[in-house]
Amino acid sequence: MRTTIISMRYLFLMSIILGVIYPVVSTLVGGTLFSRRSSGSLVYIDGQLRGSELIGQAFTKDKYFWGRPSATNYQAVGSGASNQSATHKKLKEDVLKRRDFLGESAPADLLYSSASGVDPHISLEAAHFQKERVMKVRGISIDQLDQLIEKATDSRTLGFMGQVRVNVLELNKLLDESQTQGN
Amino acid sequence: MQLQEVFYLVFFFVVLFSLAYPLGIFLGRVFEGDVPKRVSFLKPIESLIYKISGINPSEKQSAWDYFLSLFIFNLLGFLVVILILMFQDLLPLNPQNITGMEFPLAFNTAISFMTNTNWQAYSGEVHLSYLSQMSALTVQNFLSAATGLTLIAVIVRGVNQKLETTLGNFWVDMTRMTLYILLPLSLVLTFVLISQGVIQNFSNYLELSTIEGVKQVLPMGPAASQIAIKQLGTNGGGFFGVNSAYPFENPTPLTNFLQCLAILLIPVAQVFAFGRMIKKEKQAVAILVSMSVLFFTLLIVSLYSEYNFLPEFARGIVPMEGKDLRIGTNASILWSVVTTAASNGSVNAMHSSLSPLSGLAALFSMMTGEVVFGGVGAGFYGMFLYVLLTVFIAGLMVGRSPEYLGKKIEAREIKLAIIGILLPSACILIGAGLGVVSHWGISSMSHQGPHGLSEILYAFTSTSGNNGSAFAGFNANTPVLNILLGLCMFIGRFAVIYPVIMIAGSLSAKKSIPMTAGTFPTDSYLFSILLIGVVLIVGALTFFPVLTLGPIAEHLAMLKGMTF
Repeated sequence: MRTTIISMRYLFLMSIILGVIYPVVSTLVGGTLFSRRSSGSLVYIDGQLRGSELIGQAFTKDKYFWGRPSATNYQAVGSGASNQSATHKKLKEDVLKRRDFLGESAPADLLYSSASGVDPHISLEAAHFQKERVMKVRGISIDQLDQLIEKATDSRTLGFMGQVRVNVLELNKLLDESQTQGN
Repeated sequence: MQLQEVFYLVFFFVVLFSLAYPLGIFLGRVFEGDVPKRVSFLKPIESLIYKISGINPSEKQSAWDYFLSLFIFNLLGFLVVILILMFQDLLPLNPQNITGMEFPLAFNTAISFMTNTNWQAYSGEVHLSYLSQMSALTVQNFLSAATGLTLIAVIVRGVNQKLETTLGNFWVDMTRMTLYILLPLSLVLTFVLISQGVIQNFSNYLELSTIEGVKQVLPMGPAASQIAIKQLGTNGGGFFGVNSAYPFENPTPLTNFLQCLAILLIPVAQVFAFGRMIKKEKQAVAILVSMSVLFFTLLIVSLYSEYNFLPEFARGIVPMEGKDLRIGTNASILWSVVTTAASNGSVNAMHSSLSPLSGLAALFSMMTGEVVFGGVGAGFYGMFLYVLLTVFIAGLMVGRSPEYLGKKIEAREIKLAIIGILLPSACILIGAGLGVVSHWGISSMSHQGPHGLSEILYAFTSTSGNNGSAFAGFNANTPVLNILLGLCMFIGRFAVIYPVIMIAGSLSAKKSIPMTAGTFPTDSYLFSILLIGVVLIVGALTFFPVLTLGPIAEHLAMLKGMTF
């Protein structure tokens, strides 16, 4: 009985410290020091909220660079992956279908769906692979396109962590911006 | 693999061990009550906690009382979590008006977080209010980790004490672990994570129109504070459904590196702490060597398989299915081995889509009871049971009565150790066995062929081993599975904790016998090799048949170009 009473008091106290004070202090301090980061690294265009630089979006139009296949079509709440193994019939079919559609030399990240379902990046190869299409639709020069891709590219952290990657949302935003200025 | 990727792996281990050693010493001092200056300003809070809770910190508990305090406290936490989850719609901090959870799912989730498993049959951003995340789950993230750590102190006391019937005070051990170790480390990691883009706020979800004009809803919430302890406490339950693959949880290569490091930090440090506290560091090193050899073996198998055994349709290029680009293949594989070696269970790539033998490596390290570094507390106390078994087998081989650290190991200890090793394994095999012949098991599978078996095997292995990772195509959110997997988590946790505390109690009551020339040395390489042998043999004998039918059969089928 005594143990039960101690347990109740102790749990209550710990819930206040760990379940209220700790997250609230983290929010206040973190929110003050890194307010853009803590609130979701949001992207605004003309004052309108249009996305987060960390969360990928579905791009299907020819004038945009496309992101990776997503098992949940880039919905950000309730996102997920295919979870299919290499012996799943459907995975093989999907990959072959995508390769048929994109072309024989399509890079792996455009053939296989992501883990998060909202992967914001593609590889540098995947960006260059799509250049021709975007160039044709937009009538933009290849040099200009290369510059924009470079601007939207992050290299490996410290030279060895992670992958070289292109942020698709940022690249497409840059594309739109460059052309409204041009017009 | 490119050179940078090899360097990444080497760098990881150099940083890991150079941080874990000083932390281990720190951990040891905190256990002994010799609180280091850096955190001694927290001492008044410690006293205040005792005062308000009515705890007498100088009271010593017998093995049974220690277990009872631990068990009742955990059970209470479990009940409170169930209530919060079921009635979250009536509680504050629920901006999305998320409904209360059904009982089977709440039962499963509450057991899952109490037992440090953090198996998730729900999806965080869909099923949980901010209050549930903070006050139910974040709290259990801390408390289940601290519960595991108390057992290290208990084992040390069992070894160090002579003819004593008490094992220290559960409440004191809990409080010190939480206050001086877990909380400060979590705060530091939280801020680093926020600076990189992990979200931490109480905003409503944001509805927006994407660049192409499609509606998208961005989830929000106090994520960073929970993710920090989720990794440091080897919990692994994601704030969001896809766990550490979700960019708001793990936005950059740096957060990926640090979180992966955080998973193994305390599990490695606790072995150093053990060595320091028993004042025989070489004993701890012998155990660490065994763990490291097993770890690197699993890592090499997993990496080799992922880079070399490809399905025919991949045309020689490593598939990216279920991996996010910023993380990449090598860091995904490293994480998959780290998270299953430790009882963490968070994932940054979908294990179900890894190559079959990489899936096998993950399965196998969970099947051994996660003793390769293992969970916070749990990894070491699990390995301790294997150590006793090894000493016992070595004793049988040379015909001497077995001893460990000056204590005679007798029938009672070995019986208890066997319970702790075999019961979780029984849960895995019986559960998965029933599943493959029952409608409730088969209907949840998302694969035909051998991978279907692997899916259900993975679910019972992950829950019985208190890991929490999943082959996530498997639909575990059904009433039958929620209850069964919940029971597996319960048995996997307490059927190990109980024997460990009882063994410690029984060792503590024994007298210490001096080392002689005939004593089998447990700080030698020979011992490390024997220990590895015992872990592998127990794991292989128990699980080889089912692994053959699952991942190994799938591997062979894949090489033949078969699909199902």
